[in-house]
Amino acid sequence: MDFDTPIPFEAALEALTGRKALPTGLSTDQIRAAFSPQIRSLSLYSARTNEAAYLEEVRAAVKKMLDGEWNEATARQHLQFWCDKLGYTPQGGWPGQPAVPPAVKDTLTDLSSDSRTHLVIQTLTRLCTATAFAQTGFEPDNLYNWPAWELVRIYPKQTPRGFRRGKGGALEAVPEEAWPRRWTDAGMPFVDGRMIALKTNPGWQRLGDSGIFRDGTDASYGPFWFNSGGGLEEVGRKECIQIGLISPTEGQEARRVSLVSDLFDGHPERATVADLKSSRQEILEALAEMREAA
Amino acid sequence: MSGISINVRDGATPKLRALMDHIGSTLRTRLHRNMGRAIQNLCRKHLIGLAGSRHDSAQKIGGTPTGFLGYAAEACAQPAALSADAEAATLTIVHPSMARIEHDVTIRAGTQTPGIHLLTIPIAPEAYGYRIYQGADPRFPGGFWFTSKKGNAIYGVRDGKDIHPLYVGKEEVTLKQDRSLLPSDAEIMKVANDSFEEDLRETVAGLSGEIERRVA
Repeated sequence: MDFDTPIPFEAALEALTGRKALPTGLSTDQIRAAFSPQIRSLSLYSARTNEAAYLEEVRAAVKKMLDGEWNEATARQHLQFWCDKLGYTPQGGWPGQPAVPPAVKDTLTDLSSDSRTHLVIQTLTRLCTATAFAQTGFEPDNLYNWPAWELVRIYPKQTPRGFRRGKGGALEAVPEEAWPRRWTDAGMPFVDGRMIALKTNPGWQRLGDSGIFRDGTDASYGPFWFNSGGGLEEVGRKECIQIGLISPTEGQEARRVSLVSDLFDGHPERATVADLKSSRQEILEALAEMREAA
Repeated sequence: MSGISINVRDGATPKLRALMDHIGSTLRTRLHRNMGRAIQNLCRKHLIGLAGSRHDSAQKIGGTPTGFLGYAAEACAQPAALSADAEAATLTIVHPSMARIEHDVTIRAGTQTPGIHLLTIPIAPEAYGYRIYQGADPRFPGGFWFTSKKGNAIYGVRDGKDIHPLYVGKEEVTLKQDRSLLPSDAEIMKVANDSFEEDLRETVAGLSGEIERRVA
C-alpha cells in the first residue's frame, strides 16, 4: 500500500464540467415538460433556480466533493453562504431575476435549506460518479467478467423509501413506494429474489424514468430517484451463470481469441504451432504451481 | 489522501513470475486491469457493507447518517481510481477516510475552512452532520460557547434553566488507525489471484482452440 496525492475523478469531473448551466424559474414538473431527458442530462439545473452565479457555485461545490477536498457538510455550508451572499430569500427568490413562487422556509422548496442543499449536492455528485462508474462497466472485459448489475443500498437512510414514520417515530411500510414495487413497475424480473439484471437490459433506463416514477431522475445508471440511497453493484460472471442470467459459453469464444491475440501483442499469426504449444505449456505449469502455492 | 497499490508480483510464484516475463505486455496489462477491477469491486462492496452497518456515530446520538462511507464506496469505483500497466494494477481511493487505513489521522481546525479555530463535534442528534452556521447565520439561534466543569469548550442553547449542549469544540481530533475500512490483504490477494487464474485458463483454452484450428 502507498499514499498518493489526490487524483480527481476525471470521468466524473468531465460529466460535471460538460454540463451547461441552465438557470430556470420553472418547477421540476415544468422542467420535465419543457426539456427532453437528453437536454436535462447535459444541463446543470435545479427547480426554481434562475440565478446562474449560484449554479456555478453548485458546480464548484460538487467539484470539491469529487476531488475529495470537501465533505457534504462543507459543501452545504458553501451553498448556504452563497444563497445569503447573492441575496436569496425563500419569499423573494433571487434579486434581479424574474419572480418565482414563494418557497416555504426550511423545506425542499427553500433553496437555502439543509434538505434542498443536501438534495442538490448528493444528487449531482452521485449522478457524476454513477455515470463514470457505469461507463467503465461497458468496457469489453468488464462486460464479460461482470455482466450484470444489482440494485443495492449504498447510503443508509433513517426512513428508507417504502417506509414512513408513524406514531412515536415507528417505521411503517408503504409497499407501493418500495424498491421491489418500482422494480416490477419498470418491467424488471426478480432473479433469485434479488434485483439483478444484465447491464444491457433496457429496464435500467425505465427504473429512473420520470414518466413512470414522479421522483425519477431519468438517469440510466442511478441514482434513479431523487433522495435515493440506492445504486449499482457489479455482479460477477460466475454468479450470473449460477443464477441463470447467462450461459457459461456466452461470449467465451470471442474472448479466448482476443486473449490469445493479446498474448502475442496483437499478432498471433506470427506465432508458429510450436510457439502456441510452448506458451500453453508454460501457462499450464504456472497455473499448477499457483494451485500448489494456494 | 490515500490509496492502495497492489502488485501481483508480491505474491507470485517463481513460475508465474517467469511466465509474466515472457508474455506480451498487451496481455499483461489486460490481466492487471481485470485483476484491478476485481479488487475495485471487492473494496467497493466492502465499503458499501460498512456504510450500512457502521454509521455508529449517527446511531449513537440518534442523528441522520451522513453517507460518509457511501461516498467512499463511490470514490473507490471511479475510473481514475484504477490504473493498470504491464507491471501492476494500482487502485487509488481518494477519500478522507482512507488515510486511516495506514495510521492514526489528526484533523486540525481550519484545514477545510481557514480562520476556524475549533472543530465542532456534534453531541446532539439535530447537530449531527451539520455545521454550526447555516449560511451566514447561526444554525441554532441564541447558541453560545461556554466552558464545561471538565474544562471542555461546549456550544449549546438555553433550554429553560438548563443548557442543551449541541457541539464540543476541539482544536484537533485524532482518529485511530482503522485497517478494517478495506478488505484484508488475504481477501484482496485471493480476488487478484482468482481473476488472474481465470484469465490464464481462458488463454490456455484459446491457445488449444488455435492449435486445433491450425492442425486441422
